[in-house]
Amino acid sequence: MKENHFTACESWQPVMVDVLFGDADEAVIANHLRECPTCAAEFRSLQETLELTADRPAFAPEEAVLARLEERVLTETARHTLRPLPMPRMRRLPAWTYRMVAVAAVLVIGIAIGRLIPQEETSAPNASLPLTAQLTPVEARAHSYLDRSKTVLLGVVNFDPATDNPASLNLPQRSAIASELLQEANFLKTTLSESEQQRLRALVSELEIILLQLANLEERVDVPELEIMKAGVDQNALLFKIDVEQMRRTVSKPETRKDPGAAV
Amino acid sequence: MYAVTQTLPMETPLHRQLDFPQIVRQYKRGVLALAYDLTGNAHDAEDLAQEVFIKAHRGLSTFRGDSGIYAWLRRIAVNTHLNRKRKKAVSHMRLFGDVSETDTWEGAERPPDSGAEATDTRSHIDRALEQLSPRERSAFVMRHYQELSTREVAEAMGVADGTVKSLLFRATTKLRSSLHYLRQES
Repeated sequence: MKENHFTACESWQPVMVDVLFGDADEAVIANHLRECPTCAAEFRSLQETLELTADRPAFAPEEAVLARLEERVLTETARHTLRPLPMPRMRRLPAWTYRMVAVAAVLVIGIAIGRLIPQEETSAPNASLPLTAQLTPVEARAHSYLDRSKTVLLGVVNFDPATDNPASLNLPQRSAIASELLQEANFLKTTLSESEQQRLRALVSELEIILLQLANLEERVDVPELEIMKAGVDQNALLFKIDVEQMRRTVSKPETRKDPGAAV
Repeated sequence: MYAVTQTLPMETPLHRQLDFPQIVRQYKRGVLALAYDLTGNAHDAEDLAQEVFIKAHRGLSTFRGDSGIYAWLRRIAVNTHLNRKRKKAVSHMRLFGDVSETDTWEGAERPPDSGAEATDTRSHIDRALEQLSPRERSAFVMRHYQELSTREVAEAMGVADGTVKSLLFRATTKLRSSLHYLRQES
């Protein structure tokens, strides 16, 4: 019975809030307050609290502060507006795709030229093996981190708030994956310590900033935040850098590179 | 008539009809006051208000006019404020371990001796407000000090009316505890 009484009183809370904040007349709760001394006491004490907090004087900013705010905003936004407009792009192709195509073309040409030149007998036996076969465990983890980050970011970069359904973005899931990747980034930053892993470590750190933004996004789509994040991905050419790392993984590797985990 | 140039043809996109400097001039006071109520100090308020207007400028093309400009600015302000708090919480969590949402990070920012001189009503209330979670505080200050309706608060926070009422109830209950000594004095 006590539980029923509690539940019944709890159901009055939204009504109590309406009355306390002036959205409803006290008459709507008067009967219940007469019957329930606990709720009556609660109501009066909350009413007193609101009266007390109403004494707080309104914030009145000085004119100088307002002028400074206006000046800063207008200066900043004018600088943004004065930047040269980017060339019109064909149907939402980000800048990194063009760089990607250029790198792919260079690679194809390089491989073609390489095949035309006679191979020397002294070449290392492992030189043509895929890099994945020679990766250290931590490098393999780093590449898995890059692959997952790319998948998560591609969805964000390609999302168009004007035409796409916000539900298709599935922000809660992306944020959760971003949080997992942040933990992975912490591990990788401390473990990728060799000098030849510096580039990989730097990329992990760059991605971490964007992933932190993604992990902190609201469950619903916040267009300005998304645009800032897209700009961050685009300006730092993060997807392009990931692609380059993926390509490096699949091409041959210098024989001087030693794999600590490999059998002697 | 603040910001829409009525002489432009109807087919002109809405964001091209908006006069951004005029928007800043018209709403700077309101946005700054809201930012102050949300953050609790003048420095953070100015910083937040500036970010709100810059975000509004960047997202001007996404403004569809479904709600008023001020409602749109309020929504940006609350989202930006709550995101900042969340980011701060994430950094704090990574440095010092887990904290719950109801923990008061603001308290840690105060100078160690600032509480001792909190003698006037405003200081007491400000300190009591610091005990609220960012969401509770946002709902409370918008409803109680900015005098927005429950619906407007819900829109600004992107939540249901019922959630706002629940936040308001929790906020008022917490404030009651914090201000207990003040009530006794009065």
